[in-house]
Amino acid sequence: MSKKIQYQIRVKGQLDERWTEWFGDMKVKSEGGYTTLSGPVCDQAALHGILSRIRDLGLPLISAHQSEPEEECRQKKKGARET
Amino acid sequence: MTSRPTTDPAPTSVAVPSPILATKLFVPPLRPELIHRRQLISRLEEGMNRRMILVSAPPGSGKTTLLSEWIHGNHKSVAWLSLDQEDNDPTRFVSYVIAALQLIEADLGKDAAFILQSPRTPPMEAVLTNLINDIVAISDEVALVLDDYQLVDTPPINKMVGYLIEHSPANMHLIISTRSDPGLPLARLRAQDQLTEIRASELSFSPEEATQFIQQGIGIDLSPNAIGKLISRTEGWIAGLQLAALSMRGRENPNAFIDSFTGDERHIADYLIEEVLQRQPEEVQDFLLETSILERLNGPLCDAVIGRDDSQQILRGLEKANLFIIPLDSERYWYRYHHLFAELLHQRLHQVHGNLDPELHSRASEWYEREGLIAVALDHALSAKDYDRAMDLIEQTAEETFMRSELATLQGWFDALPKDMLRTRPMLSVFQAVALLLSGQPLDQAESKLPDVAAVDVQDSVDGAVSLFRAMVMAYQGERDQSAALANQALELLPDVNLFFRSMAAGILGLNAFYSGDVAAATEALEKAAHISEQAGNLMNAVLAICHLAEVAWIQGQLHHAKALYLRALSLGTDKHGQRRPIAGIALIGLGGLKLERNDLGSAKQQTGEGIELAKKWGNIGALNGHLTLARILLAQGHPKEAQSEIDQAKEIAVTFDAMEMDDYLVELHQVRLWVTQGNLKAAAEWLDDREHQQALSTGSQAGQEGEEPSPLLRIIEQTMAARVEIARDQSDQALKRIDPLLQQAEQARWVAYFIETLILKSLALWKQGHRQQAVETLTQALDLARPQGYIRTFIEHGEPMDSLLEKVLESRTGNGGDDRAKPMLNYTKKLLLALRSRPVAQPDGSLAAPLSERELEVLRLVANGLSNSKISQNLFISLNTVKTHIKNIHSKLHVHTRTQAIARAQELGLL
Repeated sequence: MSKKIQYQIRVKGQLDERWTEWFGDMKVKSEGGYTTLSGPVCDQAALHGILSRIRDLGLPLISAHQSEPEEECRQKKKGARET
Repeated sequence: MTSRPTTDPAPTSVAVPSPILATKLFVPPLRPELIHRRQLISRLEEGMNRRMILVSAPPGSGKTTLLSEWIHGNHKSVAWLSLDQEDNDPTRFVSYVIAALQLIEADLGKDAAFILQSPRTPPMEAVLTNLINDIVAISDEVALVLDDYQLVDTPPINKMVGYLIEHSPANMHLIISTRSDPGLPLARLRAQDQLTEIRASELSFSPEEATQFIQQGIGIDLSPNAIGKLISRTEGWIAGLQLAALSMRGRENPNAFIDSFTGDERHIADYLIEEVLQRQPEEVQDFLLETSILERLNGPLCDAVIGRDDSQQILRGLEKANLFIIPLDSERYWYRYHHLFAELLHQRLHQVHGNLDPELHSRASEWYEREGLIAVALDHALSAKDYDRAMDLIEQTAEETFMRSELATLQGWFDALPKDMLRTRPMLSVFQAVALLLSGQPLDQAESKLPDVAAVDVQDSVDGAVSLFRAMVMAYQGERDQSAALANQALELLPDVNLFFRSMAAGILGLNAFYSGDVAAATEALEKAAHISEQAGNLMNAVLAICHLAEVAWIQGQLHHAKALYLRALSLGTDKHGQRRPIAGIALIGLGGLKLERNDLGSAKQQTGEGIELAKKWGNIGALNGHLTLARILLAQGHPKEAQSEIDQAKEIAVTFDAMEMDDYLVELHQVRLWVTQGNLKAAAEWLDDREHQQALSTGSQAGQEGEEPSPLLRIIEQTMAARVEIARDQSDQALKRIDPLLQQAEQARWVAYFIETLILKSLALWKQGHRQQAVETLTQALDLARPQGYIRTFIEHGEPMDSLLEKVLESRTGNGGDDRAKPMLNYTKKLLLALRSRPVAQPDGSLAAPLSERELEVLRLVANGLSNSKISQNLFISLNTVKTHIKNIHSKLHVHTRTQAIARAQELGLL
């Protein structure tokens, strides 16, 4: 089983927690016109998936960084628009 | 709508499901309430002086609208391609690019499209070069828009697009519209001033444009203050402004909306989509949410997915209301949502109804299957995670996909399936293994996918497909017998529906039989291969099989039949407008070779040259044989230097193409032939010694390289060449020893062409030995066989000794008096003599009627080094008189009178 890595991504614009599922179950928290997505990411491909969702919603990206490493990965792909 | 019928007699361009294809190539129409963006349009116009225009900005910035306004405004020939994620397959991508370009010029990329039919994916550079050449040829400005490029921004596609940009002629322009900068060499293009960029800041509306846009969109006047607020909240982002306008339309108090909107800090799109949706009737809301999973929409599809019967009307209504929906054809049948809008709706669907995706995708998949659009049905089945259904669909469509060389697409499907599930479908496992093999993956990786046929009770089709896989592997490894046995087995087991696999098996069988020299088996298998390939609509394989059939006929000495077959291949390789496809080049080269045999040198040269040009478009390897044939033609015309240059070109191709040892060796043998004809016996002798030495080595240790049996056909060509060298070197004893077993072999195998050639060599050797009567008898035997088929060149290429021999034959025949049966023979012999004597002897750059002997060459070299006669005599330990005799002979053979002339002539002839 691969290890997940904790990431924190900050974007401009407020989103509420209903968006959690949309961003691969990352925790969505917003404040003062900014939103922070935080949580475990399976691998780099999953991270880039989330970044392109951010791009596709037109949300300006402020920062993305690794917060703390190593947690077990429960392979879970959600809500991908794959048609 | 059905998939492409397999009986299609002449697939002229690209094999893709046409209804979907058309929507991808459709330039989005303009909306009436457009804000004209003159400044950006003139930027685009100016960009037409450069290779590439990049429009890179987030979704909803108006990229597509800008490009469509530009195209509709200036009527230039601009091709349009809207990309999807599925276009990541290089073959599919380039097929679509060709299809898009063909809308502006029907003939563009025809050859490139045809090359794509090859079962092994052709090198993309060859396909692209072909396309580029077509673009150069039309000289009009050609622009290609690739919309939504972010969906295919992957290394394989970037490599192709990068190649296209780098090699694009001045009249070709690529316009890429994308959400993020693509992995292309942008920095280099910038440095070369070959890139025009339009980015988010330029695309966003200026305050004036925004004002105009909002006023138009909601139909009432807003105060400058209110508009200012909107602009600053959206920062000129067009999608945001449009959503805001939609939210305000029909509101009694738009100012209140503006206040709450601008006072809220939520993401603009998130906030506004809710506003917009809430203002729609409930049924429209549901429609929007539930159809958001569809990449393209039309009435019947939406009806099937959400269970209504009026979807087409709803779609029209959405278009009228300007609800982020874009028509994909002029009939307003197909639509798509703006991508950002679809994303937002889809997210909302999950929030409101939970995850309905599997059900919705399943219904979409069923609809597409009913319409015969299997590939799209398959994508939906995979999205629905309905793997059983997906696997059924792959089984249906795999062969067609193979035939289009879309190997990456196939692999994408396999990758999307859970591994343990794939094991339950042995046929799919074989498809996967074959796809890996054809795309050049390591053998063990491909092999590991094969189902364990012994362990489970499998259908014949699976068994047959596994046999085909193994036959292909054995063929690559040069194990002809095993490969043939397996291919036979595959043909027995595979049912008729597996057309593509059957055509592959028959092709392998044919080639194996061909190289092993079994003419009967080769004929049978190649005929089958041609037949099945024609049935399967794979013209490329059919033409190749028929050309091989022609070669088999040729080997059997049936020149007339060979010609008929080449002509059949030529007509198959010619489209209905009379235009020849690259593959027809192979047939033309064959016809050129036949013309050479008939000594019709002018048209031989013309046809072979044309064949080489065509075959090159298909890939250099196709032209190799053409260069060799042309070398022989040029030699016959007395141009040894030009002949050498053709051989050099063939050599270059053979070196770069190292899948087959055979090509290198064929080139080598042609080089030896040239040396012998030119009288460069030293080089020829070195080759022979080298050859004998190697053979002694390999029989001493292991047989051949890596257990590979050399082809018997190649071997007899080699052996006759060796005999030729020996005869030229006055080693007739050795030559005769070599020749007798060859005669036997050729007779048994019914290789009449080689039988005739070997008889001729035998008669020459006997003649040189002074056994004149025997020589005449042997040659007569060859003449009897060759006459009905009109052989000429095989006889007359031997020059002077053949002249005397034929003269003698004539003498002995004329003695027979008025025997009518002898008449055709006499005429034939006279005809040969005539051809022999009218060949260029003393042309300025002609080959030599009587080649220089080795000694004479040695003397000539010393002369060229400036040595006097006495120095030469000391050097060679021969008398001064002998030197003088040699020089006299040299002058006479070269038709010159002085030493200086002799040196110049020898240089011209490539002797020095």
